[in-house]
Amino acid sequence: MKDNLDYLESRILNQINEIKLKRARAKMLVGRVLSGVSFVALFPIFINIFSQLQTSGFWNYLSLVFTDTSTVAVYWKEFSLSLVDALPIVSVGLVFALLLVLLTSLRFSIQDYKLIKSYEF
Amino acid sequence: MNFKETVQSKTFKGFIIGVAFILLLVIVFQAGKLVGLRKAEFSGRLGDNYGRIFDDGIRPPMMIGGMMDSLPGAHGAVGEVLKVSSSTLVVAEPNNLEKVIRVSSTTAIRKFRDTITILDIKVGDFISVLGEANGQGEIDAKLVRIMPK
Repeated sequence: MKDNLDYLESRILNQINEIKLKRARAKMLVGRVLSGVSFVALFPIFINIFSQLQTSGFWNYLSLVFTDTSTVAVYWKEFSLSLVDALPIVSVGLVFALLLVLLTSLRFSIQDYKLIKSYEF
Repeated sequence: MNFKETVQSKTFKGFIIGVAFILLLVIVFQAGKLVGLRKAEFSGRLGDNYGRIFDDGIRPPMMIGGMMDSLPGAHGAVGEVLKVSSSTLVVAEPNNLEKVIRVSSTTAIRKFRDTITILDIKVGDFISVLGEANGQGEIDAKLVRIMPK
């Protein structure tokens, strides 16, 4: 009787571990795919941002800090607003969103990897 | 649970972080609204005064710019000089939008380390302008700098 109960207990625990392992593997796969896609998507967006910064004159405005420091200090409000006007806000927001996806999915992938390794041992 | 334990609890910490996050969101939203309003106002004034400014008889466009990122900036200009007069410059930005820059006695006009006058600026020069939009769709320049090409 006691042997039967021990056997039943070990079977149930094994099944629970198998389900946990399956879920961890699925999560790790999703995490890896998401981190790969978000990493690859970052490159064209960075290139787009640099091109937009060039077209908008952002670097020209920024260079005024070095060439006309005292004038920029007096008209700091107009200077700040011109920098904000020239910033490609939508693209910058997209970069941060992708970075968030990349870092979160990497974190979950590593957590699931550790869990899978612990079960496999 | 007494007051001290409540204040030190994780829930309370989470509540503080949530409040700080919402405050940051509101500040950023308000800043975005302010910048967007100034851009839209300038774009509207530029459209209203387009015919008068450029004096070419062409009907003003319905709306200059489009999405937020392509609305003209109202606090400066960067581009090539198309026209020079005694008190105004017409600048073509890289996105092909033309802006009128109004120069006054308080405008600092600089080339390298020298201070120059508006008449020293030539058509084809590449300039950066810092200023403020006026009510006629022009930018009152505070600083004009001729940039090396």
